[in-house]
Amino acid sequence: MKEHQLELRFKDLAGYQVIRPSLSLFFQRTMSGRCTLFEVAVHEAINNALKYGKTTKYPKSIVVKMDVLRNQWVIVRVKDHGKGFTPDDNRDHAILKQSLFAESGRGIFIMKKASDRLYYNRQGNEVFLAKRYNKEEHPNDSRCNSSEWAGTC
Amino acid sequence: MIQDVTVANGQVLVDLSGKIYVEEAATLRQNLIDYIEKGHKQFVINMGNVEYIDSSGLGVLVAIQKRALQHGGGVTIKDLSGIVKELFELTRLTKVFRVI
Repeated sequence: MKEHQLELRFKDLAGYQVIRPSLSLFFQRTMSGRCTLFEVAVHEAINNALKYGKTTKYPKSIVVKMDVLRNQWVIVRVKDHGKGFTPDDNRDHAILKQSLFAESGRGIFIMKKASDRLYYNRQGNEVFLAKRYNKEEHPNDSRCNSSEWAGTC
Repeated sequence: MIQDVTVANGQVLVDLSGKIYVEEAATLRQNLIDYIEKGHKQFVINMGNVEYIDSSGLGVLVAIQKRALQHGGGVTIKDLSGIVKELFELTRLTKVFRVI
């Protein structure tokens, strides 16, 4: 049984800043009381959407949907309206070997390493991240009242 | 965010704190590049109070390290802990900086 826990929409960096507290609260309630690698991975996905998902004339909202599935999985979708891109698996090897001094390119690497599942849609403008977590390790997990997540902007 | 920057014994001592998101990373880049352009090449960056950083902030630290090394200096990263330490280890940045 799955139900949407949180859906956030924003168009730019200013909007992202507004919704960040809602994201943090979601992760505090679900996974743990502190920032985890998976939370960083979600922010990486949003950073990519802000950077590459820009449309020309009329900016459209980036949509972030976050669900808890069977109290075992946190599932996050980040969708933008850009042209999309093709993930490059060779990039991982570059990060780990010859490109340690690269100034960019770590975001997708972090997303892959911090997620148990990572998929893109065919167009490459929506990313799906999932992380399994142990409910017993995170007793604060609770279904939230949707009114707490008023982060739409 | 940048909590404090001091220069002592030829070293630029940078105290960072809180959460370093993409916009704080841009500010940090400009701030530290200003010191490089003034001729400084040795940096000690205290990360002990940093709660969050992502690839944008990590990229800035790498950029400063590259420029510092080009001038015969370097960046030392101090007091890594928690999620920040995990990220440095995951991305192997512990091989890029002197970590104490």
